[in-house]
Amino acid sequence: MNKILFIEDDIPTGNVYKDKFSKNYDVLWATTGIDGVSFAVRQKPEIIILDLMLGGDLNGFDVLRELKLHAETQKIPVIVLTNLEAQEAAVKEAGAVECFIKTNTSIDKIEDVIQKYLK
Amino acid sequence: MTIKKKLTIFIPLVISIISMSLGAFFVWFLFNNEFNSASRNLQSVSMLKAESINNYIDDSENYVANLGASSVFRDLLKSLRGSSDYSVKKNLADTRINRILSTNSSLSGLDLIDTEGVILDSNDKTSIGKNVSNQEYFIEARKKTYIKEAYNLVSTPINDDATGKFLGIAVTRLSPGYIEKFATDIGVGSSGEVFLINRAGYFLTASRYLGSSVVLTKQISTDNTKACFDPNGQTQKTGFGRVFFFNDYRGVPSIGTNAYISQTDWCLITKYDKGEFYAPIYLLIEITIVGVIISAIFTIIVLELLSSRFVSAITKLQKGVEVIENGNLEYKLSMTRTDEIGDLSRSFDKMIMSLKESRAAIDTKVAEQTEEIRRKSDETKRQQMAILNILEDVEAEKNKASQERDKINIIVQSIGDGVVVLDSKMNIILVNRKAIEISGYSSSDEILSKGFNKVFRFASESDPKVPKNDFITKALTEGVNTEMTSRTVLTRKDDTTIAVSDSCAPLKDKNGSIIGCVVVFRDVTKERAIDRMKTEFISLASHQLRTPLTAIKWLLEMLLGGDAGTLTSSQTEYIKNISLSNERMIALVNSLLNISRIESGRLSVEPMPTKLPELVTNTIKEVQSKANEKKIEIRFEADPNLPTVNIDPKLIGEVYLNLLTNSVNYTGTGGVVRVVIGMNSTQIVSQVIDNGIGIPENQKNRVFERFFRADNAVKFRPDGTGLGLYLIKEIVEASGGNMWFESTEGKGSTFYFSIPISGSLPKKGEISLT
Repeated sequence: MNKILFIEDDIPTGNVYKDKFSKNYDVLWATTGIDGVSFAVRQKPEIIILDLMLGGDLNGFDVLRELKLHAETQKIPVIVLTNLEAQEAAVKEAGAVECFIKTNTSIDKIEDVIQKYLK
Repeated sequence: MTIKKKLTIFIPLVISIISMSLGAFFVWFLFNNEFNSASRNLQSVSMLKAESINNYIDDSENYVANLGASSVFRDLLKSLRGSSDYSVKKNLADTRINRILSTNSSLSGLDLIDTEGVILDSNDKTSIGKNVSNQEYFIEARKKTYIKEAYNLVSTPINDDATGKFLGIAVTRLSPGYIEKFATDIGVGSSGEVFLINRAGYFLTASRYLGSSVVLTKQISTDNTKACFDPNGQTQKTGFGRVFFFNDYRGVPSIGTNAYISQTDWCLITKYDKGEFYAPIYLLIEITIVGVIISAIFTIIVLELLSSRFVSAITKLQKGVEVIENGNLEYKLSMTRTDEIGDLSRSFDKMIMSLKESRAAIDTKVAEQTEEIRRKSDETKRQQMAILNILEDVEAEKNKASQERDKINIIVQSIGDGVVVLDSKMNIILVNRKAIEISGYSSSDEILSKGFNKVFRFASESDPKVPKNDFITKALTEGVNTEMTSRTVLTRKDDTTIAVSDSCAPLKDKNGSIIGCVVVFRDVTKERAIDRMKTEFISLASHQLRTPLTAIKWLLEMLLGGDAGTLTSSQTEYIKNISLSNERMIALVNSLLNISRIESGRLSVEPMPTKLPELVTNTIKEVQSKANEKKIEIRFEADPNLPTVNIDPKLIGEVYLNLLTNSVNYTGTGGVVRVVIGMNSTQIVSQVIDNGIGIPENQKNRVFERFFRADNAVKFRPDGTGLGLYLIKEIVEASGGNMWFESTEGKGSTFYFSIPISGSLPKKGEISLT
């Protein structure tokens, strides 16, 4: 099964991810940027779903940058799901392949996107 | 001075000098000779005379002595006066005396004197009986023979032959003038004389010049006479004096000598006039002088003649040279003389010939050289031109290169991120304005002098004091683009730290070797604004609001999707309702965000070349399903000449979407919605036309108000935020266009908006549309 790493600090949202995707994917869920990076490095998921507004030392951008620096994680496509406005350009510049506003995106759409990048 | 003058002055002068020198030498020589011979002459005469006088005196002495020793006289002297004996004896004596006198011419008288001094007998009968005892000649003769000077007396003692007893004196008188003979018979030149003087200086013999009257009357004293009697002088020692010049008793300069007659204490003076002595010498001097003069004159004349001849020849040469000097090489001296001057002139002519030839040769050579030089000069000129051209090209290239450099510099300087170019050893080659600014310095000089590590102190945020430049070293060694790990800070000049995002790209030469790298970094304090956003109300609010809405949305979706199991129809119904409300809330939050952004001016416009028909077609797709539900037809027409226009497709897309959604929402079943895009010279005008419910007349002015919904709209469709038109109008205006509408209630509406053909201006905003 493909591994998807979700880096998300909001518990309900993370639970939704878990519920939605555990069936078909190996779901990894980190609630802080640091955990996210270390999961990514160690577990090398196929896809990373990243929230921007993370608590702790690293925010989403930092995570993105970190991921791009580590050889293990450089190539993993990162899809940013955020509720922050106007981040698309910035995140794409930081290395994300997609950026969606959570409230404007259906969970199915998200799955489609995941599928797309798994290929 | 001309040769002539030179010759005629110097040569005679030289000859004169030589002659005079010779003359002087001769004169000296002659003088010496003369003097020597004069001396010899004088001295021999002096000696001879002195000798003869001495002899004469001796002879006289002897003779008289003999006489004195005669028995006759003795007998007479012995006999007593008055006796018969006496007269006999006297007669005998007379006879004897007469006989003596007649046989001796030198004697002129004879006296016999007894011991008393009485003249017993004499040839002078008158003197018989006289007493001469007081006479010196008597007194002296008692001892020895005495010669009385001047009187020419010689007196001699007569002594008894047996007893030796003094008997008397015989006195003889010498013939006068005898001695004079000496004086006159001189042989000492034509002015010479010889005379005797006594110690007192009286003449004893006559002076040639003053006569015999001087005898015993004139007294003289000259250097000569003094020399004779000088007790230390040669004369007294040797009997003969030197020859020397002196002034005689006349005062006449003379040359002479002296001899001493010791027997009589007389001096014999032998002399003659100096003039006579010098005569030959003077003569020689005269001759010499005359000779000199003559020879000088002669020489001058000769030289005159000679030099004229030579000088004229030389003058001729000189003239020749002048002519040639003036350039006339045809001149020939052509002298026919055979001497050296002639040779010279011939050599001269030859020289002129060869000079002419060489001149001709030179002229040719010069012409050749000139030609050569001209050629070379032309060549040089050509080369110069070529070089100048090259230089110009080089200059142009340099300028181009420098311009390029300047351009690049300007570009680099104007880059909004900090750019630092390093070489492979991490020395700073270039640093742009932004880099200086971000790092807190004021000029590139400050930075360049310090070195990279001191200025750009990159570090990890967790460890800001520990420099971390791996991103650079990695780029330099591995040749890959790198970024800093984790959160990076840059410590500025004032030691504050700022968050930076940065990267390093290696610079490679055409062979692919790494020659340096370009470090680009930016102050991402803004990007780190996410953290700031946590405190920003709108961001915070929107985020906080959205987070729960997200969960709700997805869970509802999942429920509806059957992920939690099949739902009953009423469950589905409820959930659908919940979902709708949720969506409304989400939409509301979105709208609020948009509006707040627009109102705060933070909406960004990012124009890019957009094909409007494509944009519209995609937008239509989004509303297509809804339109299909209501069986609304959507038609689209666009001017075929529509250019690609620079607009922000997200924004303009939103405009089309909103208008289309409105049209679809507020048009009844089976309606038609048309999209038309047309253009004029300056604008592209889009129209969305529907035949929907339209807008009430009295509410048209509020259509673009926030939250405003027309009454008929609310009735027709309860959902709706009332923010859409407000939003898109703002968008259109922000994009450089205008929005307006036409509408009739119950008939439909047409919404127009224009965009300039030149496109939208980019606007940097912090956020784009949601």
